[in-house]
Order: sequence, then C-alpha cells, then structure tokens
Amino acid sequence: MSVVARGLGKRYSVRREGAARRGLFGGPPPETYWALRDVDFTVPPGGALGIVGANGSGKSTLLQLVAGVLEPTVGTVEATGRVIAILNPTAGFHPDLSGRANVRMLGALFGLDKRTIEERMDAIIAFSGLEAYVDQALRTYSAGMMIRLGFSTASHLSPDVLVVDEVLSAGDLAFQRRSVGMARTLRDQGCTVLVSTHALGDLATLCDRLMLLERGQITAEGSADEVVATYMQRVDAAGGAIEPGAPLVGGARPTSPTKDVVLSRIVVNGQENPDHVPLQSGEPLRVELHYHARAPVDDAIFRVQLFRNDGLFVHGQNTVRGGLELGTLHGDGVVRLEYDSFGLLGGDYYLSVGVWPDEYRSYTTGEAYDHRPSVGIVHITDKRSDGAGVAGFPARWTHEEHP
Amino acid sequence: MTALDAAPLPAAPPALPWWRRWLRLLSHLVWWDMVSLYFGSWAGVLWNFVLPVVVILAYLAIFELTPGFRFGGGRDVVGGFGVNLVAGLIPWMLFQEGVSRAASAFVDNRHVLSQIALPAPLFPLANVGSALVRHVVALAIFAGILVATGHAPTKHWVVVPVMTAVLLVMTAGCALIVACLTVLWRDVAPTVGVAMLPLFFATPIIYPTYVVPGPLRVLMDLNPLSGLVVGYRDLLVTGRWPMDGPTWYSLGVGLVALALGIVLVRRVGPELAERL
Repeated sequence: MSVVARGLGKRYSVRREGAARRGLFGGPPPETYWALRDVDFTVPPGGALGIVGANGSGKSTLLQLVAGVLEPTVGTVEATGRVIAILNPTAGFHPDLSGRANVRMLGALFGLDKRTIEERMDAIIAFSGLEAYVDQALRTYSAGMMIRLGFSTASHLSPDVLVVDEVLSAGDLAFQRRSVGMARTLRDQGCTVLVSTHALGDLATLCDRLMLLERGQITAEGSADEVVATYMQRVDAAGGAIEPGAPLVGGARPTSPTKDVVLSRIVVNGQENPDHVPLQSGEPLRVELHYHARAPVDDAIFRVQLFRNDGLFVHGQNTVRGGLELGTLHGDGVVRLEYDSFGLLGGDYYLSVGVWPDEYRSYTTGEAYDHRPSVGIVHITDKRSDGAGVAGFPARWTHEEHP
Repeated sequence: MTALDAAPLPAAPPALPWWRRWLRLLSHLVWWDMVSLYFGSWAGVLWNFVLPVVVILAYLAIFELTPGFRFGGGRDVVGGFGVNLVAGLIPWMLFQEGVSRAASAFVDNRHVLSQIALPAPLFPLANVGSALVRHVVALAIFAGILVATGHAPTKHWVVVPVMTAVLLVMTAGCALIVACLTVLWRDVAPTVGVAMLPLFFATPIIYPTYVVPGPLRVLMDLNPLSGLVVGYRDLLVTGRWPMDGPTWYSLGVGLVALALGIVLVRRVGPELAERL
C-alpha cells in the first residue's frame, strides 16, 4: 500500500501559559508557525522512506500526519490499508498493565481481534526478547524495553504501512539490527515503511530513499549516501550542535562530493553489496574500491575507516599512509586494501569509504571526490580466546615456576 | 541475520467495515474502562457491582425500615420513600456517571490519542457504556429486591429498556458535548462536576413532582431528566404508563444533544491530538 503526500503542511498555534484565561476575554489571536510546509512525496508499496533532520525539523509532525493522529492544515496525505505507527517509546502503553496485557491492548487499539493477537503473542514476545519480563507491569520497564515491546508488537500486527519515529535508534545494538531486519522483511513483503532515526547506518541499509527535513521543508532527497552526506555537512556547518548525543555515523568528515572520481563498485570480502559483512575476528579482510575518474586526477587519496555505533573511530587506513603511489588516475581502475588478519573483536562497525583530493585538505575542508560514510556494517564475531575489548592480537599465555 | 529475521510473517487478517471496527473497539474500551477504574485492587472489576449494590441497599435500609419517611402525601404514590428514591436514583446515576466521567475522557486518554489514530468519540462513549453496564446491574438488583419484598413484577417492567434507550441518547449526547468542550476549555470538566449537584435537586429524585410549587415547577418541567426519572419510577414502582409528553420532550432534547455532540466531535476531532 502506498503513501502519497501532496502539498502537505501543518500549522500549529503557540499556546502559552495562561492563554486560556486571556482568550476567554478576547486577547490577541494566538501566534502560529508552520511545522511542516509544501511536503510532497510518494512511497510505493514495498518502498522504504527514511527521514532525517535535526530535532524540531518536522520529522515527528510528518510521521504523525501519515499515521493519521494529526490532520493536515493544508494538502493531503493518503496512507491506504492498515497503518501501524510507533511514534513514541511509550506507544500508547499503560504503565500499570503487564507487558503481555499491553500487547493485547495495543493490538485491540490497532483493530485486531483477540484471537489473532493471542496467536501472535508468542512470536511478539520472542522477537522482543523480553520473555522474563512480559508478566511484570510496564512501569518497571526501561525505555529500551518499552521500545522493544512496542516495535515487536507493531511489526507483528500485519501492517500495510509501518511508521516508526526515532524508535529504531533507541534499542540496544542487537535489537536495532533485528528490528531493521524485520522492517526489511516487512518491506520485502510489500509493506510501505516510513522511518525517522538518528542511527544513520540503519537508514542506509533499510531505505531506498532518504529525505532531509529542515525547518519543516524538504531540502534534500535521494539515495541514502547522498542525503546522509548532505545532512552531516549541515550538522558540521552548525558546529555539530544540532543533534546533541546523536550517534552520527562515525563522526566521519562531512563531505561535498565533487564526483571527479566516483566509486563505481565497493566489494568487501567478495561481497558486491557490503551492507552487512559477517566476519570472524582474525580472518582476512579485503576491501576493493573500483573507481571511475572522469578527468585526470593526480592527487587522489583513498580511505577506509571503521566506526563503532557510538561514533568511536576504531580504525582507518589511507593510500598515503600506506605508501601506495597512485600516480594519475583516469578512466577505470581498482584500489585494494587487504588485511591478512583483521583483529577487531566482536561487534558491529560502520564501514566508511571514500576518495579525497588530498590528505590534509580532506581533513580541513571536507571536500571529497566521493564519500560513502556508511556503506555498510561489518559484523564481527569472536571466540572467547581472542580476548576482550575492541582489538585482538595473536597471543598466548605461558607459565613457569621458579624453584 | 538471526533465525527470527527470516521467520515468515503471518498474512493480514481481512479488513473490517468501519462500524464493526468501531463496535469492537467500543466493547474493548468499555471493558477497559471498567477494569481500569479499580485497577490493581483485589476485587478488580467486581467493584463496579459493589458500589450500586451498596447504594441501593443503604438507601432502602434507611428509608424503608425507618417508619417516619413518606414519599409525598400519599396521592397515588405506591411504595415507601426508599423504593421511590432508588427508582429515581438508578437513571440519575447513569447520567451523572456517564457525563461527568466523559468530561475528561479525551484528556485522560491523551497518551493513546496522541499516538494512535482512533475514532475519538469512542472514548467518552466508552465511559457511558461502562455506566450502562453498572446501570443494568443496578436495575437487576433493584428488581430482585422488589420481587423479594413482595412487589410482583408488572407488565410495565417490560418497557424499561425503552426508557433506558431514551436516557442513553441523552447521556451519550451530553457526554460527547462535555468531552469536546473540555478540550477547548479545561474549565468545563470541573464545571460539569459542580453542576451535577444543583441538577440533582432540580430533578424529582428525592421528591414527587406534585410537591413542587408553581414557579419552580416550570424549571423542573424544562429539565429533560425529569421525564426520564419519573418514567422509571412510574414503570418500576407505581405501575403506571409514563406520560408521553415529558418522555417525547426528553427524547427530543436527547437527540438535539446527540446531534450537537456529533457536530462538536467533527469540529474538534481533527485538532484533538494537538490540543491535548
């Protein structure tokens, strides 16, 4: 089922404290402002649209309009079929009810009959991973647990349109991945997905299209890579203060892709589309960057970086550092980076790759030929013997007794 | 990806026509209203039935077993003070509970209304619905007591549901009106609470109609609840067909209130989530 917005706009009036009393005796008319203006988009059935933007940019208003909770001031938004929305971690839950009773409640509020809900109860609880807590009152839950329960329930109510606001970025990393996987499964079954999140890496793997909202208007629209790059550029221009605490992918340098050199293919360990690369700690890692240089370029630097979800820059390599002389690039070619043994320990790491004109300029001005700040996630698993922390090195213990 | 990601998702259940969806939601909300009122208590839902029982028994015990109380001077009044009082109190309780709880229906459920697109009028109507359940229980208990104390059931009792239907139209209409007005002006909910007391005395519940002197009588006749309360009493206790005039008047006012309520819901409904 598709979602179509045409000329969508929402105006709020500012209600200040005491306005009710003044209004009754005829004060000035309330001030108004547009939270959203001139928004047009179409998401086809089975499409996924991601919405990024600073706090207060209109993301939530937009999703509330799609969910039908708010009525547009101007324009229309049509969402056909069963629209299931999780707009808030508390998701309409009642604090005194148990998790299980809340699932029943939410199911009933979204219009499902009791039998269907009971049939799906086990699957919902299993997906949420809250087996041990579902019979406790919801007020004992942490915010993350509520989100898990809310998303699990929503995704099992057979949505035709799934609307998820911010919630994806709030669970723990393992659940984030599971829920993005679930959203993808739903999308592949024909469900239309609209999400807003600050976990940009998730958007990249879920959404075929991204939309950047600023002050209620669409300022960028396109593929995930492009929009994320634009967004991060804006964040940087604002001194990074727009989104305090947001887990930006990597804190990677914002870029303005000039596209003199473009990365035509990125292959990781033989995988063409490296959005999710499984890797055993200590195994070889091989990154191939296929490029196309439109014009002769003689100062290019290729860079591969890994970031943890919280933004920690874990590891990076570039061709200058590695002592690779590229000479003049023109036409097509491939640059390879090979690790015999990649020693990061278990976890998910965002992979960022790019081509820059010059090592130092790339740091200072952020100008890039091409930059994919979150081309994929490297999912590393480790053995107990590999050690603990972020990095592992080949090692062994020995013991000698002194007589 | 874990095995869970690959689990096939069940097919969507068929979509229901809107009225079946509303009915299902309404019955759920009525049930929830009755449960949530006494949530966490040991007796739970049963409290819904304890209260009417205690009220009925207390009034009957005091006013029936004390010989001094007489309901009016005796002109075609059947039964003692307690019986006549309770017969008027039962319809009053439906109206009073339904309307005063509905006044804060939208505000109390803002956590749901701002998250999930739901037909908003179902929330005040659910308050009326749960009051109706308690009303039916109270009627059954009262009828049981009447029969047990020697009042044989009469053919008039069969018509009580018609009277209940008229009362329900009036209660639902007023419930929708006050629920919407409270969203616009928060002062409405407490005003409704305060207004219930004078309205109680302006309705012939604790006195028979004919004791009311001339000028006040106009006020009583204008009160659309008067016809209903007298109607219940006539049917249950006096054993007389209620007068058509006041009943039609009550139905008329009830329908006007309901229409006004629906108009208000349509006006306020779209702005509900942002005003809450």
